[in-house]
Amino acid sequence: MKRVIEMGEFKKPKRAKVMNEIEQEQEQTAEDLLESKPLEQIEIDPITAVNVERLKTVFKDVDVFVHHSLTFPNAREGQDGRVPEGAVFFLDDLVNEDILDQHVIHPLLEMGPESFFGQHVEDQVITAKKIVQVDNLKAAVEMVTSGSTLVHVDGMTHALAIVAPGFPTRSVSEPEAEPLVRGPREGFTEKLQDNTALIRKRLRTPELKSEVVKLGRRSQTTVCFMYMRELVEEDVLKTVRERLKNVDIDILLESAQLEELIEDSVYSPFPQIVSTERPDKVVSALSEGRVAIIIDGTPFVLIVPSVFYDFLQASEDFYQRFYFSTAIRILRTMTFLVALLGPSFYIAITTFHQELIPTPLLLTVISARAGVPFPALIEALIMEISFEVLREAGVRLPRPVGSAVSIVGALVIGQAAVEAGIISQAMVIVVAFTGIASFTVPAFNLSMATRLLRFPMMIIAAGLGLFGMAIALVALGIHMCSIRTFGVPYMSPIAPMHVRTWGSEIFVLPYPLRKWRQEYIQKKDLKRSDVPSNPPQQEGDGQS
Amino acid sequence: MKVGWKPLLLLVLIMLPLIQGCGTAEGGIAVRELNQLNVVMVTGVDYDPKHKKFILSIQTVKPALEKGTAVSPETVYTTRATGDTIMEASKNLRAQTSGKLIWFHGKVIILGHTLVRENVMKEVIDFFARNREIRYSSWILIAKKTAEEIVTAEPNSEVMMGYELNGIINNQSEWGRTVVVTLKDLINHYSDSYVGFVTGQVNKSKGKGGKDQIIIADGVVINAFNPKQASRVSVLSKKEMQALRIFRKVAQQEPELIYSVSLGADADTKYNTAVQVKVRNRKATSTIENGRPKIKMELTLDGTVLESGTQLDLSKKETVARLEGDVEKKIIADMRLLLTRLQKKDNADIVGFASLIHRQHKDYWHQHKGQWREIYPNIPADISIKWNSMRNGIIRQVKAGEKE
Repeated sequence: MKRVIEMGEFKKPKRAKVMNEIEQEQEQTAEDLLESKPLEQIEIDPITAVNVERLKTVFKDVDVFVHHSLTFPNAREGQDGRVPEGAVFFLDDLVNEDILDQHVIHPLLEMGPESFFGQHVEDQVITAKKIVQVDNLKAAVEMVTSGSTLVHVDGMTHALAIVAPGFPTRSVSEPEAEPLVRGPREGFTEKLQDNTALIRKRLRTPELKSEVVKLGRRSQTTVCFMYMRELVEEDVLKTVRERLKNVDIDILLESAQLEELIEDSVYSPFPQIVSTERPDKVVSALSEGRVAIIIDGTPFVLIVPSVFYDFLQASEDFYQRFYFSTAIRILRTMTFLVALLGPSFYIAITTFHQELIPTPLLLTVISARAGVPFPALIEALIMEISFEVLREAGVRLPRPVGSAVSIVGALVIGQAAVEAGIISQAMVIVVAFTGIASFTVPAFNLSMATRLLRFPMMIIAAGLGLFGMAIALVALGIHMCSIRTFGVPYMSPIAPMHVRTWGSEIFVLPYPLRKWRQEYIQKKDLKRSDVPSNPPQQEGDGQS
Repeated sequence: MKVGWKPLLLLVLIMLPLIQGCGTAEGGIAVRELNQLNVVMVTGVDYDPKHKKFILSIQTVKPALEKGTAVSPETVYTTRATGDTIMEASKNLRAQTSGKLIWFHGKVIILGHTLVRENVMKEVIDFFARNREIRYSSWILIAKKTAEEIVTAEPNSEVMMGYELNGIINNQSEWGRTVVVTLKDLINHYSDSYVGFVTGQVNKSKGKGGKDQIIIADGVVINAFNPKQASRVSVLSKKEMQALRIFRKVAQQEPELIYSVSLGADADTKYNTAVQVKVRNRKATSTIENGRPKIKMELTLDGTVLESGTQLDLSKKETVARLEGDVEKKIIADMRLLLTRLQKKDNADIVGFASLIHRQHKDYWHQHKGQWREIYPNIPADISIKWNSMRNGIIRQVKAGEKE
């Protein structure tokens, strides 16, 4: 390593002897000190060697911890008769070596004797972009673990952390969980800075504020929440700050963990916070006065507050002609109901309410069920469970094997079971259609909730028919209306009713009709634009 | 106070089997699996005056898995049972069938002629009105002989009698020479002792090759003035039914009636012009003159010339007026004939004069309803017809004798 050789050249035997003495002296005290005092109370020592020892003790047995002593060729002896020296500390696998070499070590070694102390190093010597002053050991350790390089020179009462991490990161690519036909194809990555950049480049206003907190006792994950100052509701912002402050978790790896810790009703089957991989979706949420929570290490960004209808929206809805989008929205609401109620409705009307089926259809269904040995509930449970098993197998298996599973599944379940007379064809149709319907729900977490709720629904339908389903639906409706997410009723804009916002939240109306922002999210600025209801008249035909 | 969700869930689970929403009297849950069902398609009720027993005959279907078709002749099953009451007979049916009988899909109910003759209609109608499995939209037919004969007859064009009868009934709107009413109408009109009741008559005859032929034609009028003497039942002919359907809206859909007249002097056939007539609007008003009610009926009709062999030019106004006049005369004559019959002979108010006077002259009605049976036969009716249109069709009229 080039750096090591360079620095080795400046080491002098005399200095080494002094160092050894100090080291021996400090070795005991460093350990004792660290045991007796919490890290944040230990301040950065003006003598570099002391700090070296302390940090070495903290990072004992961390093989990637590197510290280099710096001896300055131009340095003169100070008043205490010692030639000032310095040191850099970093974790070898986390720093960007090029930046370290060019902007930190080289300038330090070449600086003149007059530039040793105080601000000078920070202002004029180190040319790296982002420098943070740290004045206690805890902050210093945190900076090192997060990939910064720590610099200390004799006489400084603080250390400098040069933020130039060199983690392995994934490049920006199309999000796989939220594909679309038309619209921006960029998706978030695991790197927080990239993600905030993707948002900022679409929202070029200083009104876009971001605040950072560190969460996770051990993981110390950076969590950033962004909002539009002029749009966000103070109460929501206060709640977000408070809840993030109260989060106590060991390791924070994914936004789902945070979601569970900050959502209002943990026991509800319904998801209450939208998570997305799409920067455009986050930007549009920010422009509605919502808060985006970005977690370092995951491409899924949380959007709060979210209401139920947000889960039935796809960002592409706003990129297509509004007729189509509105039709798709209506279709999606219906398929959500089908996904929730499909098999239970079938069970209810075939076991209790045969009068509801038109006669020719009834006769066809009866003939399809002739010889099936199970009651409808058992039949439905067999099919639903095997469907879920197939789905799970398809997701977990490596992709080439996954397709084999689905082929075997389709053949075995779809055909053999029907031909053997174990399952009726009608049930296969119902279960298959319900399964596909559940995939039309754009939010995967909502689709999972409906798939799970299907089972209790089926059992209730088999016991109490449509009456039972009505009771269950009423209970579900009461539950959904009682949830609040960050102070906003979950069923807005239906209950409470905000008809003005239906144009963008439930349907997709042409722009003049959806110029109103969601008033249940924020009340500061309700109008998106002043688009007149009539299209502009064309002046002249350009042919004269 | 915050109640934990776990005890609540437990409570709900414990209560689940107790809720009797769909339960049976025995306490279990009334699950009817589809493959156990015997779907009743046609119900026939007869009365045996000798033994004083009701005879219930049904046609059911129990579909089996066959290639493509749900119903085949093998899956159709006919049976009968007798009992002192209809309910008893229907319970006795269960001794003979393996599946669970459901009546929800029985679209046709056939009442035997004996029921009407033997004065037991009241019980029959009450049974059908009370039973929660019988649909009020079921069609009611009166058999010329026995209902059982119709239920067990071999269908001509369909796999089972239920489909066949249903199809014939659905065609009546195009035919207009009979009317089949629903159970709801039967119950409504029969409970009103001032109104008579009419429905289609079904008859079985031997057709070509000894095959059974089912015909729904004519109408049976059940006089409800005095249900105790309901034996005064009479049958209206096709022509009378046609007049009745102009008089009153009996079924949901107005029929398209054909009237044939002879237009022009020298016709080769009896009639040379057919006009399709549809009632567009009916306006009936009642007036009380000298303490006697009088009915004024104004009809607005739409006509369409469907065929014509006349020499006269149909595009001329005078010809159309003449045609309208001819048809009008015929319609009014038919209606008068029907009215005379209903008033003098049958004494049945199926044209709805009672409800008309009740609506328009409440005081008079309340004073005189006791004497309605005496008043009704002598109510004069003034019928007038207005033509809304007489469509000529889009083709050029064939001019007989014209060269080229």
